[in-house]
Amino acid sequence: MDAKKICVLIAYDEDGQKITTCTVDRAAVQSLIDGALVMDWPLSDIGYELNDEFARMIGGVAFKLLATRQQGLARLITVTEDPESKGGPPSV
Amino acid sequence: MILRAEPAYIAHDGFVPTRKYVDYQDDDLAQRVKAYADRSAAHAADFARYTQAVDERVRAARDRLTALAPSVGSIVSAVASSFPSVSVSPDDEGVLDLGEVSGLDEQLTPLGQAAPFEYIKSAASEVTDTVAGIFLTPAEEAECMFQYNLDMAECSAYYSMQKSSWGMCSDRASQRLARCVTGKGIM
Repeated sequence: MDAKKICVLIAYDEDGQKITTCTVDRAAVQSLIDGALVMDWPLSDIGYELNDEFARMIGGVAFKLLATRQQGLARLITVTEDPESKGGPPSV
Repeated sequence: MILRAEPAYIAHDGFVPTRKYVDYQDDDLAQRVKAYADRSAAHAADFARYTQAVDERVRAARDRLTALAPSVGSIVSAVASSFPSVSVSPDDEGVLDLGEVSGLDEQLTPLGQAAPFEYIKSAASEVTDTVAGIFLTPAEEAECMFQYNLDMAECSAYYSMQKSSWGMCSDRASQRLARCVTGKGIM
């Protein structure tokens, strides 16, 4: 029997000044995922290689997404950004 | 699992290429946050104006119909009851066949015997309710815009780590906004 599929959650605990990680049952959070702004990262785009570079990018995304709602985190993030992104997103 | 450590403790053989953008990072981030906040404020103001305009239009339409309601009935009755006194001059003959038209004083035309049109109140009031129903309340619309602004903040986060993600993210944010303002909920 297959093990249940999971999702990884990464949270910033401001009071405890720590990052917490855990896994949750994917089926249990599927309705929350359906209601969220989901981004896809096709493995074909990265040559099916989950390497350092991709980990840096995904990790940076996680920190920066947290920082959109917990601004205290922003000044701690020193992950190298995409050099192409300099100047900010196009005005919408 | 991703742990954050002081840069000095990181051997930096893993993250390649190791690049620092210390110079622009703080200024640039602050600038971008400000630009984003300005845009958000402008959007919120635009949206508030739009909401107000819609509210006023709905209210005006409702007032007009309410004011019109009693008079419509009397106008229709008056028009209907005036038909028997229509006279056809010789010049107008053949233009419109009114069937058996009696003389001016006889009051016996087919139309004269027809019941006057009656104003049906429910017709007009139902129309306004239906029209109003396609608009969200200002609170619901504000909720949609609030969620959209959060979505776009997330898109900025994605953008900073991978520029090419912007298109997909802003498209999906727009789709979510569209679903929200058309009352289909956020999916």
